[in-house]
Parts: sequence; structure tokens; C-alpha cells
Amino acid sequence: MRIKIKYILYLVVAVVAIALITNFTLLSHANSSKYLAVGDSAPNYAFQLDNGTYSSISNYYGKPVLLWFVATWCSSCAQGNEVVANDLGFFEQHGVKVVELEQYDDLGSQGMPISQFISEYGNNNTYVQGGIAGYNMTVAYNTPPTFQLDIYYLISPTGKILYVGEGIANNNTYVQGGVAGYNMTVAYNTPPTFQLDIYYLISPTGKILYVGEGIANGVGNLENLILKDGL
Amino acid sequence: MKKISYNNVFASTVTVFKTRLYAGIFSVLFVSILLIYGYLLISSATGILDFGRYYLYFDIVSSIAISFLISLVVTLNIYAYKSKAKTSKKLSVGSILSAVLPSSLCCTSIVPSLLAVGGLSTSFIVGNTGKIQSIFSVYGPVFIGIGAAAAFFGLIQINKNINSCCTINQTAEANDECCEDRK
Repeated sequence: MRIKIKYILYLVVAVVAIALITNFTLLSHANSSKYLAVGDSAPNYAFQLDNGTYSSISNYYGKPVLLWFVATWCSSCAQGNEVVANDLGFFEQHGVKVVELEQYDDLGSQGMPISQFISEYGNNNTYVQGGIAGYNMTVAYNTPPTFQLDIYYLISPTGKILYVGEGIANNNTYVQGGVAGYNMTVAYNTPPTFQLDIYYLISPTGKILYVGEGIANGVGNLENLILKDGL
Repeated sequence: MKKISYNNVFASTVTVFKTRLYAGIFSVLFVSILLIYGYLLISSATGILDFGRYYLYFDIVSSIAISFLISLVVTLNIYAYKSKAKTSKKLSVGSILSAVLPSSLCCTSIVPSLLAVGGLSTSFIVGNTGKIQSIFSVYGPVFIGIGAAAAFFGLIQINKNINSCCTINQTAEANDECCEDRK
């Protein structure tokens, strides 16, 4: 019994050591890699559509785009197709174009063609645009070296990244939240000169009492209004 | 020394579960393992490439079967250890690992991370991570089947071990519950 406890302790120490070394090494890689983050401009690489022609992100300027990278042998990606297909009405209603790209060379293992993948697992829908990303685009939008198989970006009509997510099937509610945010942003913000720090004081009955920019300098005015109107 | 009757290969299982302690251990293990495997298999959509929209049924049935078999084997291993019979650890561990592989090694960043830790370049990883991960995605149900088979053979093995223990101990005084039932 004592010997067994000793071996168990060795095993625990070994597992923890491996985890720490792996984590440290990955963090080192991460710090030296360029990650795409919310607010960045979406890199404008060309990609091949499933009809053989070429397109790029700039061709979609003027509409929000859900840019989604998959591998066609990936089970969670197939599940994602089902989930997205069930929500197509929502994307159509909000004018969001869905572009699903097979990552470069299907990451080394050729699955079915992207058009077949979308059709077979996406209820034969024709709304989702399929295509194939080149090597540079795959590496730019995915995080080397810890490549994700199921990574998606919500891109604004001006080409800015609004949201980044992994595993679309399990996170689709966040995508919906992101799209609603865009419409609300446009409604509450002043196109085309979007403000980063804009605030509204809204009455209990839903009326706008005050609009301001830069809340750090406007808190005083807000306090006066609140006190004056007895909110 | 009496020969083991293969007709009664599961007699030990029945006898062990007459004890509340082991029935309780099995129940706790079954529920815990079922929750874990259920989550792993369903969240990773194991089997969707083979069964399409019916993958959920496959995942539910597989979770129940794997959890039942593994819980049974582990409970009997605990009994065997306490009654100084030989345990069957390799098949138990093999079963647990095999059933977990599809959801952990496919469609996650574990494989590319390990390749990166091994010092391989980005271009190598991009070109080859799919070769490894696709095996666990495309053949996910096969790994689940292997896990279930390993657990089943582990169950047979542990039953034989427990039976042998009782058979051996019948020649001398023994306090094992199963031996007392056989007298």
C-alpha cells in the first residue's frame, strides 16, 4: 500500500510538471504570435469560393459577415453547420452574410468538399457561402501553434472584428448577442462617425433625457440631472 | 480445487452487489461517469459524421453503456483488491482512455499544442494536425466500441479472478463473503 501511494504521488507530480511545461511553452509561443482581437481590422486575404471563383473580405464591405473556419472532417464543425442552419432566419433578418471556409488543405486530412459539408450537415441550405482559405489566411485567422478547428469571427461592414469565438455550436447565443449589438450600436451611435464612449440617460418610461460623449467628464452633468429630475 | 463454471462467470457480480457498500459505490460511480461521458460525447458531437442527426442517440446510448460497464469493473476491482484477488487494472484503464480519446484529441487544440511543444513548425502543424485529429473524429464510434469491449472483457476477467480467489480459499478458512456463500 505504501509503495502504491508513492507511485501515485510520482504520477501526480509528473502530470503537473508536464502541464506546467506545456503551459509555459505555449505562453511563450502565444506571446510571439500575432492574435486577431476585437477591434482589429480583418485581414483582407483572397479565398476561393466553392464555385471556383475568388473573393475576399473587402467584397463583403457594407454588410456584417460571419467568417467561420472549419475542417470538413471535424465533428464539432458538422454540428456547427446544423446549429447555424437552424438559425439562418436570424442571420438573414439581420443581413449577416455567413462565409464558411475550409482551412488550408483541410489541415492535412482531406475530408469532403466544403459545399457537400455545408449541404449535408446544414439542411441543404444555400445561404451559407462555402470556400477554401489559403495557407496565409488560415494562419492569420487561426492562432498558431494551437490551431482551432472551429473558430469564427463576426466582422463589421467596415471590416473591423466585432467578436471572436470558438465552437460555434456551443456558443451560438453569443453570436446572436453580437449581431444584436451591431444593430443597437448603429441605432444608438452616429453613423458613420462612431463614438467609442457614448452614453444615454433614459427615463423610467423609456425616454432619452440626455446624450453625452466621454462619460468620465460627463458624470457631473449626469448627477445634476438625476438629482434635478428626482430619478 | 474446483473448476470455475463459465455459466456462472457473472455470479461474483451478483454476489458482490448484494452488499450495500458496493451497490452504493457502483451507483455513485455510474452517475458521475455518466455525467462526464455524456457531456464529453454530446458536446463534441461524437458520431455525427457516421450517424448524422441521430448522433445524439448514439452518444446517449454509448454514455450509458460505457458508464455502466466501467462503473461495474471499477466496483469489482475495489472488491477484488479488498478480498486480495487479482485486479484487472489494464483493461479498466484502457477502457476509460479509449472512450475519452475521440472527444479529447479531436477538434481541440491539444494535438497542435503537443506538436508545437515538440518543436515542430507552424507549416508542419498546419499540414499534419488533421492527419492525427481526423482519426479520432472519423473513427470516434470505433474508439467508443473498443472502450466498451475492453470494459466488458475487464468485467469477465475480474469475475474470473474473484471466482478463483474464492475457489482457492475454499481449501482453507476464509472470511470472504463470496466464499461463505459457496460453502
